[in-house]
Amino acid sequence: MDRDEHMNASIRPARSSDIPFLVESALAAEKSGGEHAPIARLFGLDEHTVRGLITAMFEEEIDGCEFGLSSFLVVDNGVGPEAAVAGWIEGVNENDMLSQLLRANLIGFTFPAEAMEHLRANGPAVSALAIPRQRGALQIEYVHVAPTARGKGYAKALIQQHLEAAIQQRVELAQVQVFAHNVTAIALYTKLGFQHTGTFVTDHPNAPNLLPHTEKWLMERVLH
Amino acid sequence: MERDLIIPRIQKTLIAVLGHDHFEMRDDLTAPDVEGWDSLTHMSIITGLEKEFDVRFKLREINKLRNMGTLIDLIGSKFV
Repeated sequence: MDRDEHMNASIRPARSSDIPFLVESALAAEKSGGEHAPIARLFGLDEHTVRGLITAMFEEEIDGCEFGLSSFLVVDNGVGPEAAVAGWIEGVNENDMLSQLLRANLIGFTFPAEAMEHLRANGPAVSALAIPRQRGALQIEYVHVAPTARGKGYAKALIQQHLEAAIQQRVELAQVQVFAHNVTAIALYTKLGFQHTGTFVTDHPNAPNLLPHTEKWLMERVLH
Repeated sequence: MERDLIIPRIQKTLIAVLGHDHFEMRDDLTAPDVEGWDSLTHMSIITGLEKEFDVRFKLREINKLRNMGTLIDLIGSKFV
């Protein structure tokens, strides 16, 4: 980010008052350019309800996953956040627990029982896209820039800051997952040195109703 | 509750959720060691264990689980 052009904008760690923006970021990133957030579809919930549940998950302040307040960096324009990106070192937290289990625990404790039944029914349609995250690798997730703040390099600047922090911690690998149709995001990650290293596809007939796309890519960048 | 009584009931719950018994109930067993124990089945396993033992876990309790041994100890602590 060019500070001369954007004198009032700076990057800082997210704080509790940013939670409403982080919720919108999570929802927008989940949609990946589509109309529906998979997290709502999978659980058979409307977006308003999901917004409240994601808020509740952020309020738990669990470190080490995409619903952890401490994972996020934001661009603040002096009034409030305009962009956010989550980044954490996989499996390196208070209890060395993998993010997929932290996320599952959070959802299990926050979402209503009926929603969990929907998940059990819909799970087989999406399980092929549950890409394993490498323990010890930087994970980049929920990259979002408010529509009014696009084109200023905020997403790139936030990811770069996560990368630099990881490099300082001697982290060897950075990983990001992206739906294959999201050419804008893929171009950004490629520009930042990520390479396409894995393709994951679901051919389940219900998958197109639940997900923005049926193909997901793993992109990686070696840091050391 | 004794560990010897807890272990087979955890095993029964895992088999019911995962649909196989291709795992050993060792203390150092972790989710990635077990075929099919992913984020989706994890939620069913936790819910299944709560039903099996008629207990409620706290979020911070299950976020501290490192392996099977700590899960057995957590369930045991509910009956002290």
